[in-house]
Amino acid sequence: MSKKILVVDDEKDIVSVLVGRLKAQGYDAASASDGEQALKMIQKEKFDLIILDILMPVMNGTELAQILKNDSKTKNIPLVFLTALGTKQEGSGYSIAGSDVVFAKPFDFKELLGKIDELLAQK
Amino acid sequence: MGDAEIRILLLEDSPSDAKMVIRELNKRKSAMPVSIEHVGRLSLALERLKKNQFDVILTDLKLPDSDGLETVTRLLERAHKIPVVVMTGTYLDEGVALEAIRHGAQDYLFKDQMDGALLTRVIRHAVERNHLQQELVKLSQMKDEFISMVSHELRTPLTVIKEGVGLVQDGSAGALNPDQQTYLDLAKRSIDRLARLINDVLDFQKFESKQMEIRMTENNINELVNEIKESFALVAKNKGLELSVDLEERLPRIFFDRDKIVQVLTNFMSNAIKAMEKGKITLKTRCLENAVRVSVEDQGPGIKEEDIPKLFQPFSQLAMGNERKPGSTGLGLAISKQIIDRHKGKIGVESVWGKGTTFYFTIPQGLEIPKKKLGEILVEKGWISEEKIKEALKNQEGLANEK
Repeated sequence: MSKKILVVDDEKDIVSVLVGRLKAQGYDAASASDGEQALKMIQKEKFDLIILDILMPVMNGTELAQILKNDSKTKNIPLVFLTALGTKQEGSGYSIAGSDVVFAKPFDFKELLGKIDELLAQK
Repeated sequence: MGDAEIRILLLEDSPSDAKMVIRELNKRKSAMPVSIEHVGRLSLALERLKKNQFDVILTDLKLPDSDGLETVTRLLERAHKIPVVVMTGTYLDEGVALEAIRHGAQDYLFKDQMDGALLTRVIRHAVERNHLQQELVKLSQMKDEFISMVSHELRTPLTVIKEGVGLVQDGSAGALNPDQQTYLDLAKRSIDRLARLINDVLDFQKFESKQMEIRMTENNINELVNEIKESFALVAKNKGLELSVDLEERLPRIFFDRDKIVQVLTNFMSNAIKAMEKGKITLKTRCLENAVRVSVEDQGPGIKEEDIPKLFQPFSQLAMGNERKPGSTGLGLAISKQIIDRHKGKIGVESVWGKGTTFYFTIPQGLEIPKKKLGEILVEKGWISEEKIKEALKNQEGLANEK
């Protein structure tokens, strides 16, 4: 059974290309356009990994991450943050846990994919 | 500035000197209307600065509760936007006065040569100069923000272009014929170049505005040089170039930011490879008197002497035989220089036209990790919260002011 990945970003075009890329790699990919919508989906079905943008309307990436980390059911889902802010935690206000990673846009998809494979293999 | 009243905070413990300054200023009141608040201690001055607005601080350096440059430093700590003019006894104290300027004072006056006209002029100039300085700081911040905003805004669309092209290119959207493949490869190369440029601009900007963090750790430079050689082995081989290392075995302990030094060496190496058609590139480490020197020597065409000073300037692409180097952003060496500057080392180039070029940098020996303040360590270890420390510092300051 293929692993399920949720892509959360308010930039619809980013979501489209990422979902396309992930499906081409054989992953099952779903998408949400903000943190709130993502949370509803996560509560309904199980995801193996979540890719989320840091700056989003309604509920941003760090807020979503905090909620997920505080819930025993979701706290072990690996998170991959995307940011247009440049490097690492900049402006995120959320200290990123050891297992989580941050990619600056424009990221290298091969690198991103390598990291996703690694995180999923660890589980 | 018109005829708006200039609000002066006069910090002088000698009543007679204070009286003289006030008298001289009042003589010129029609030329420069002023309001003067006079205090005799630094602690009182700091308190007034908290409560009231001033346009300029006029201060003696020797006070009952503060002496010399400490006075200037502590005033500016509290009120860095207000110009400080120091008053010293005689011209014999000029050395101290100049030192005060280096510490941020705007100007100085000698008490034995004080007269209303001079005093008025010095104050006017200090206020005006300070105003211009603040404007400059603001403009420079605006420039920083603008560059970083534009670069950030470019990132999202570029990601979409990159991944969209990537999807078509790797056949995810159906098989491609050779022509289609060629044109997509072309597009991909330009996309990568644009991405590099944006990252370089942001990197450069971060160094310029001192936002770039440098993490010093003790590292083995020889090991790193070998790694760099390995990582370029394939590219060099494909171009028919020879790579070799020449390492000094016994090197002193040095501290540097590994990732940043990799960035510098990568830049040197890609420059060398771009410049050469055939020949050998040598990576060298050497022990100097108080430093370690790392160099990349190539046998490329060399750089003309007149071009050398331009090399480390941002956006200066050298015309290598009238050709712009494809794929280069013109920022690589400028960023490298910023990195080495932050390591307190030297960066440079030696070149003989027609024979080859050597790019090198040095890292001073035993450049230790900057010592952290006790408070920072406590917070880092999670033994105390940042708020608690701030609170404690505030209390301490309060006590000092009450004395």
